[in-house]
Amino acid sequence: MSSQAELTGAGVGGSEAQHRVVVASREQLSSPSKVSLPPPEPAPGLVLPDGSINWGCPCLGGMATGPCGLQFRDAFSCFHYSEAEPKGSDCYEKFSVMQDCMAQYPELYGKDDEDELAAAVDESVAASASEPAPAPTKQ
Amino acid sequence: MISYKHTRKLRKYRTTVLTHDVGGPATSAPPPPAPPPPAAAPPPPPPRRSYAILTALTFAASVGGVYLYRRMKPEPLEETVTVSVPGSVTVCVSTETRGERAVTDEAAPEPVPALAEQLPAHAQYLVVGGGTAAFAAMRAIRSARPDAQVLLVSAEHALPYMRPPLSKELWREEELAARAAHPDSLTFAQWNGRRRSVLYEPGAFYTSAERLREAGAGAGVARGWRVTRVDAERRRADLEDAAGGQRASVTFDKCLLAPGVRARRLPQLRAAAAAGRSFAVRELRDVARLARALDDPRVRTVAVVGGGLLATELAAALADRLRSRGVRVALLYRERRPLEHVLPPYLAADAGRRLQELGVALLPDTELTGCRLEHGALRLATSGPGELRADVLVECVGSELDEGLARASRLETHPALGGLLVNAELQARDGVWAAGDAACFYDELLGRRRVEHHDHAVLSGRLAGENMAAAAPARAYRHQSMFWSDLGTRLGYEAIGIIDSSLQTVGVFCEDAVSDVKVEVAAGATAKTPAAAEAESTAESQEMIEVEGSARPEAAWTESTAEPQDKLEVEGSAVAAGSGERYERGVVFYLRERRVVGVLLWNLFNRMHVARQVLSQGEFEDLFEVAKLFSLHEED
Repeated sequence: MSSQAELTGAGVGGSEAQHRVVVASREQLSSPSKVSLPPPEPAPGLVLPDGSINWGCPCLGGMATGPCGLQFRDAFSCFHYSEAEPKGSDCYEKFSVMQDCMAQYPELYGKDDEDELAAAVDESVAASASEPAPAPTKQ
Repeated sequence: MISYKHTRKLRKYRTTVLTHDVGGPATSAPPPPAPPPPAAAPPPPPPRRSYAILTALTFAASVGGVYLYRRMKPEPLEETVTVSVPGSVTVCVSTETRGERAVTDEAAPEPVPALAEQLPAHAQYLVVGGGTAAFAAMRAIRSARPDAQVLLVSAEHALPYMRPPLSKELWREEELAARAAHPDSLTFAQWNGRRRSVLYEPGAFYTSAERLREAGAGAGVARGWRVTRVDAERRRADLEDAAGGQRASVTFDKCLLAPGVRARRLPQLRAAAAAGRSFAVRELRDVARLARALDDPRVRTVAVVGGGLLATELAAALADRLRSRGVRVALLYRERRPLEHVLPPYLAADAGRRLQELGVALLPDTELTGCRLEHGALRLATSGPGELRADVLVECVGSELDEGLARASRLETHPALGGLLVNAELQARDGVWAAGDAACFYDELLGRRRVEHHDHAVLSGRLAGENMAAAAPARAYRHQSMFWSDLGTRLGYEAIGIIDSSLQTVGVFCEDAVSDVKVEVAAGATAKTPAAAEAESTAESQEMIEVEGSARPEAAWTESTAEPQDKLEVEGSAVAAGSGERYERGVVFYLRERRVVGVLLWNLFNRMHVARQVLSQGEFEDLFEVAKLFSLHEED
């Protein structure tokens, strides 16, 4: 086992030393690299490239897997694929079912972050209102 | 100091987010803990609120999920290090025979459900274990199949919880002994000061055994139950309760083995463990016990045994916790330097000095050979001269698979790496998968591996769950897991791939991030002479401790007299110090036959996505050119 310190800027390949330390200057390190890496794989979000819902998205937290998972999926699917005007207005029934379910689990779907979440949601809705509506206009 | 800490944590958090943004949230993000409650809908529903939620969801989705993702993003679960799943043995029990029960002052809690006949007779998805991998698998299965019925069987009594805080954040909590005994209400302060539960989900999330028994959909956890045998062919598992008094059997369609590993215990400390003086830290119960022992005002010296990730992290956390009480924390290890198997020698030496700065006394090259209890204190016999004295010991000497389950189930284990053998798709047998610490898997890129880190538990658990749910063709476990560790507030490192210092390494640092240092001892005491350049001479440091010890009886270990303890302790911690090179920031490549198999980011954040790409490409002409990609000259 050996260590080797060097002040260098080029040609770091294989070496006899087991542990090599290269200490380089700022200039050397900030010059453009000759290596280019492939772009990282795109990260699937809530909606997959084909337009379907990614139920495994971590962004959903326990929503899709918890005790009201089925009801949540029904409601969200309805909304996501809704062609009504305004979007989702045909999903009232499913929302009610979801909410009835959630009301049974106040520990899960209540308290703590409620205020923050509400604020975030309001913010988001406001933002969405100022943008072109997500879907309906095209239909 | 506080603000510094804050920025540091903030950076890490960003790292995590970035990793996901760039590297793939859905694959690398952990199972979301406590879900952001989607608006407390008052029972008489004007569905406006949920409507708004859905609007928000859709909006967010339409802009790539960024806003929502970040808003709802689970906290950085991939902190790593202490992962494991319900160890099968309680803390003071000998790890060798299950019959030997712990000498604990607490009664074993009743299992849930209490009676064997209350367990479901059949589970579509049976998950052996209740840790992170088990939970992640459950999430994945229920995501892919919302009507799935999933039963987790956990030897622990706590609901599934995250383990990284067990060696990190929790030790900053007041009243830890009492609070850790109640996982349901145990919270800790995150990097941003906000509090969160250690549980991934509260009790209400889970479906009761009764409901599962009626073959209802949902996820339930049998707690205080242990799976003793899995019959792959007959699709049947045998269970017994923690006390061993009740037996049951559950048939299944598919089974995941995620039992975790248990702490390895030193046979020479068995008596100390039985006397409630030597502890492992694997489960929340262990934390409660250790915290209670440390609360004893008579405790003057705590020795952490081991030189790995858990040992160093815990030593740093305990030193921080106990500093104000003047309790001395020492790290005792066989190697020459802490983290020697992980880090190249120069970084291991740096890590050692940083531990000393945090007030941890280092006892390198020390093997424990025996231990006896005398006048209320532990007397440790070591490979070195003299006896050491300590009040409490923490054993961090690795972990091991409970072979019993594998043997009884006739499952193949790996002779060298340990763990249940699975293929690249994490399958052990037809209908049986394994994930987490206990799985020895085939990595297409790096070969056969077994990994004991939090992020791996999340990712492998999730993939196993997806493959079990079979909503899509089975996939190989390709996503590389990462880990991170902190030593105090001034050093954090993250890594991906194989981080093993027996490999060849190339480290690249910016010149202004490398400096000569003398060890500054916590509390501002004068440091000892810059002894050996790297403080790596066994004889030397050992001798100095002994010299200190005999010249001033109280130094590290000797029986306390009326000497000014604090001062001596401080000096003691400086003893083995010395000067050397400090590496503030840099990248280390671990090579196997010219291929990069691991990347370590030393105090370098927000770059895990680059490391991931480097690992995936593997071979390069000139690693210096690769190092440039990490912007080593930029301090975040």
